[in-house]
Amino acid sequence: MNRREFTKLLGMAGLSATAPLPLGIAAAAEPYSGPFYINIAAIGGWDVTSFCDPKANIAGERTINNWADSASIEQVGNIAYAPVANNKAFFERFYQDMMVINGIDTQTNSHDDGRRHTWSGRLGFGYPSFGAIASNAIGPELPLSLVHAAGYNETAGIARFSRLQNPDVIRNLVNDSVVQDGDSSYGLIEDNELSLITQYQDARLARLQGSNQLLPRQIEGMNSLQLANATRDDLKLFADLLPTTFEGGRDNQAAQLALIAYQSGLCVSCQLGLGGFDTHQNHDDDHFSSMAELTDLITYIFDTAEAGGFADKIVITLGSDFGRKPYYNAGGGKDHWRIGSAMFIQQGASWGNRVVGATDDLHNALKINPSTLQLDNSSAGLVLEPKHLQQAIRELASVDESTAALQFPLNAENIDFFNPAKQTI
Amino acid sequence: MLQDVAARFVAGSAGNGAHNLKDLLVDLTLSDHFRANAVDAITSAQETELDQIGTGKLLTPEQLNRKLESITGFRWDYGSFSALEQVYGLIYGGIDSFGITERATDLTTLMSTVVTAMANEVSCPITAQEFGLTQSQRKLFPFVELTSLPTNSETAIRSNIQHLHSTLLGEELAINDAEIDATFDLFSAIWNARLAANKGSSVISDSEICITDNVTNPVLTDPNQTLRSWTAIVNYMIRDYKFIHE
Repeated sequence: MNRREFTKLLGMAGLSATAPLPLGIAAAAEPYSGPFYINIAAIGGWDVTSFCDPKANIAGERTINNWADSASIEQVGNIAYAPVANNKAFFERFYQDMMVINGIDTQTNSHDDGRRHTWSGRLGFGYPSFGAIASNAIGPELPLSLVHAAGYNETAGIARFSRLQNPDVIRNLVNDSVVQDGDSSYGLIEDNELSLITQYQDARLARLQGSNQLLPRQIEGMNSLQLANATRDDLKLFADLLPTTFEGGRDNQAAQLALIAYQSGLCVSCQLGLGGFDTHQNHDDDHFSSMAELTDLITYIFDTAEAGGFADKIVITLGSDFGRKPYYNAGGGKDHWRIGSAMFIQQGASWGNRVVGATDDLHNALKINPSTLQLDNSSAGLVLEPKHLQQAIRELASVDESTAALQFPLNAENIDFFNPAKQTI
Repeated sequence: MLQDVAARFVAGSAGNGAHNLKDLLVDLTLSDHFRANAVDAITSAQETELDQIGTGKLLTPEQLNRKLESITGFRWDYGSFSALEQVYGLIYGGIDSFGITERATDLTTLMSTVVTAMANEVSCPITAQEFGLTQSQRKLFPFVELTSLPTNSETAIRSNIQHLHSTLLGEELAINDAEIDATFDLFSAIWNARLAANKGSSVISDSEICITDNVTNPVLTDPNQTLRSWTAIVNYMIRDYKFIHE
């Protein structure tokens, strides 16, 4: 095997070129049973003033929330929430497992920029998602190490993501030498002949890789094919767990497939996403409907994981492009607002039932002290940014010191996010 | 290079007027940056600089579909649906313009199952379709017949293998190239294995089907086991790095 390393230019002046990052050797990996990192995007910019950073209306100011004219902000444990959609059931079930991070300044109103900033920790191009970093650091050889259904998918070349779509299609593909016709299956090729073909193909690929005249892109492509060929049989572990019936709806089905990928020992992280949050018109009805789907999805994930006996392995990061304005436009919608929130959920987390970060009554971000987490308007205080969120999840996953993470530094101040004795009051 | 192209664009050097976008695109696609297929030597710094240069791009589902049909004359369809574009498109790195708006550029393990499924499913109907044509009409097998055996037609078989390397993989190889030898060895190994197994004269059996729904006049008899042997060669090449990348 001609194992080659390759570099990836970050593409921004002033940044040093990256050191080689090995993509992984061509060998079957041990099944993975560590934490499963699920990143869920509320695509389009979510209204956190109607979710985890609830706002009542202020006399003399424009109406922030119509619901606040007739209902009050609710609270369970240390976590306040808005009494709309399915929020009550959601927060009451998960508050002890949840850290809410409010007052995150995404510094943009652009969907693409906000998505990139939130999920990579950097406003500029070129940084991978946390899922890619986790995949590279924890399970680069796993054939479904990183699964992607929707949202930010930049890997910066340090990981490859798989898309799990129609489960019937996947099952047929994994059994690629057989075709299904109803309940019957038919062989396409004799096993011994297929074995000869793959043997000769592996040898040919090795000969191609042995050339000293290859372009970097060719090396990378051949390496990817070699790794794919070496790990394809592992996908049978995944196919064996596919049920005969699946959850209705694209979002639950994507989650179900990701959970099965994890159960098969082949997956470290996934990126899921729900649309419908970019409510520039008819905000309340449309947005709260999407919000209910979002909380239902998280509930479904934990219900399924509990049934499978691995709910304690699930680590969810929930976020969005940015927030929505603390007032309605002429069409009854809410436009983009650079201040948003995020959330970590992990069953039995010692850091649960806490809120870090804050906004004022008009949803402007407030500065907090990175050590005490208290409001701090002095020079020692800072406004939370996506880099702090991404640094936190890297630390939570213990990949903050990994080669991949260090290759894409966030330069984020240390925030004592996970100290259970502290929160922003 | 870009400065030269820009200067030609401004000057209208192609003779079609200044600032002609089509001429600019022609210049770019004819450039070494787009067409480079190899390097004589490369430094580590150049590996970074040239990371996105030249050939070796993973074909999109649409491109691979067009390539398959253009080269072989065969459409990989499930009924009225294109397998690559519609059934497997998203899995193979395509977009849905909603949640997935960027194409995958790196082959994953799951994506590779689309390639192997394609190779396993299309190789037999392609071969059966070819041998239903006269030699002069064929795209892939102009030098052999089903009576051309490794024991009596090695030269013709090698010539056809050379043709397949050129047609399917874009490789212009000498007849005694090591790759030709390897492919001939595979052909012989498959052929001998089928003879040893006393395979019947039908292309289709209980353990091997050949999906010829989209084929006109497929050859479905194979008394010499050569059709299935060529099927294996087509399978070998369609799952190759050089078939799925350009």
